[in-house]
Amino acid sequence: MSAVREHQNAATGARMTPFDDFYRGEYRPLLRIAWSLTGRKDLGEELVQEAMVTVHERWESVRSYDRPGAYARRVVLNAATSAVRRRAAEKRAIQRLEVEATPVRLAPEPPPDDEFWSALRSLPERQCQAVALHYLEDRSIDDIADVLDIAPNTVKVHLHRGRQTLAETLAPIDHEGRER
Amino acid sequence: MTTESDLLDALDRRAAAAVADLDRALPDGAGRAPAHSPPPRGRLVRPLLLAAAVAIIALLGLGLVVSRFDGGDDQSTIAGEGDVGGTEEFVRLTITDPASDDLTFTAAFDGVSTPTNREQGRATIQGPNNAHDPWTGAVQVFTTTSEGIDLYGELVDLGGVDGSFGRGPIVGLQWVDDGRRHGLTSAALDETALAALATDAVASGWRGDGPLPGHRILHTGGPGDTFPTLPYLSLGAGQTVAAVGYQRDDLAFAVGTMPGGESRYRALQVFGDTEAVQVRGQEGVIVRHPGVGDLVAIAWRENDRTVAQVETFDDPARVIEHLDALEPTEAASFDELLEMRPVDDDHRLLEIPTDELDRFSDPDENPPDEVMAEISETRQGFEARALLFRNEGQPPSLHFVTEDSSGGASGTGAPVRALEHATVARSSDGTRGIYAGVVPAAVGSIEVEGTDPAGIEDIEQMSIDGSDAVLFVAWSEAAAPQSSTVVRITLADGTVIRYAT
Repeated sequence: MSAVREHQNAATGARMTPFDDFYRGEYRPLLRIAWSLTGRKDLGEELVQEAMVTVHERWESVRSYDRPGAYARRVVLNAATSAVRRRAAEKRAIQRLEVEATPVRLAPEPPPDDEFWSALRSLPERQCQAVALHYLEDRSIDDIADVLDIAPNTVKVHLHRGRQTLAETLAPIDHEGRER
Repeated sequence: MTTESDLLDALDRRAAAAVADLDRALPDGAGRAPAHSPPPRGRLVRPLLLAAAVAIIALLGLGLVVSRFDGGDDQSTIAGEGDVGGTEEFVRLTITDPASDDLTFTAAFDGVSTPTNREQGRATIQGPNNAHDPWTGAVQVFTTTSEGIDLYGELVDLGGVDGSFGRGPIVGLQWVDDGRRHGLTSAALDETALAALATDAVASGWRGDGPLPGHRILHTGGPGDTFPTLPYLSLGAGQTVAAVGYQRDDLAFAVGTMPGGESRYRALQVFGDTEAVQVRGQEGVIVRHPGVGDLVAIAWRENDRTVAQVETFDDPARVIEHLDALEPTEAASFDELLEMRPVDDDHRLLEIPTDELDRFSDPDENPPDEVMAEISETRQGFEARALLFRNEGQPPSLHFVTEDSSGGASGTGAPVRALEHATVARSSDGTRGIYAGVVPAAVGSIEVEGTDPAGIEDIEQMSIDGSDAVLFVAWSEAAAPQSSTVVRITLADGTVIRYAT
């Protein structure tokens, strides 16, 4: 019972806590990841909110980590991957939302230059995540390995292959339609 | 010849530019702080649950606006955020040995389920002073004072102030006056009577701080007082309750007890159809709310400070058979249940049956009889599709879907109150606003207040057979407004409709 009340006190922002600081500092970077990897701002915001709730619920443990942000990024990356996988099903669900007492809005709002992010999203999951952390957060190989909880050498492979594919996908087309 | 290195360099430059663009587009603030409610379970289930919850709460014309409620009979103010007044004194009920009834304990909750919308507000149920039983003319009244107040729907004049009616089966009217949003919802009054009451309130300078003109406060509370919400607690129904859930293969129910007296007991019945019943050897009531499927509440007064409310999607008569096994529970024992299985994203007090979700989502469950009118047009790669469905025994429904060439879709649905009234929905192609709607006669012109240009030139419309009404889609050249905006439609006969969407 007491856990419920403490939870609410923190959620109301009645007093500043380390989680509040964490939230304020990490919201935008996490939204940047979630928006670019889902292609939808509203969904990205929702994923970040959910990730923050998850972090909040485990805050006593997460705060003791060397880098709580890495944990939050892992949650967001996994959620974004799941969200993209479910997109087709969700689209059907949207179309099924037939008779609502109140309009339900599902605005997609893609990120700027979504051609780039769309190409990124089309990469295999781990490549996508590694490349996203590389470009969005300028993270080192070790950092990315820490966030993704995989070996640095594996990150190198994912990064290399991901960037290679991305470069070919986004290569400009010359006036005769040939890739340059 | 372009080398791989050149391509990677080009990629790095492109990525840097894309990240910079993204940074510029990000909001400045940190967004809404996380609510207490745990995250929902699935991306697919989420919109369905939300649809169900939105539909249910919208029945009351409320939105998730009321922050909490207090002991029930108190007619003063609502308790402050985080204050669970009186919760230590009411009785918590549990089944000590559920296994003996082949039941399994599913989850427990104790406290306040924080509303998704954290607006501060007041909510009361009021009745006319001169009525023999004021509950027969009960009106639920709420006032909120948060920022970003928006109205939605066809605007009506309440003596110089805009108001709009909700579109659920229960009549609801809202208006914004001097930074406060007020709402009236009633199962007893029709639209005309409700508008008259609101007009009187506006004229009298009522600010939401006390009784409406000619009325008295019967109860102070919120959505959880007037509607069964235990399955939706994790979505932030805004309710003070100690609750436990039980289930077996063919039966599931949640038992909630709440602080309060007679007014809280009556409040639950304000919007529902009631049936008297014996529960635990005393008078109780089964309450069914129209338009929300099979969720049923069984309520009774456990003692003079405790209202009990059992909710189920199953036959209430079968559930009542198990309620004799309920016993008052010491706080320590209840805490054990909380520790064992608190309500979270995997454990709900009462699972919402799939067929109940389908009621809100699956066209096979509520099939539209026919398409009354359809406009489908593509502009600059964006398809806008507006359809008006006729629904058996229900108002027609407007569906508006926009979809870009990559498959990104935006969908809006709204019931049409009647073809004699306007219904308008809006979407965006990413920059410009797109509007679709049903209005009672041919459209002459459309303007969107607050946009530049306000006027819309690109309008497609078609008549709806058997009526004078038309379905239209209009593409604005102006940027899509970020918040609610008023669409001003002048019909060919000169009638002007203002619609907030």
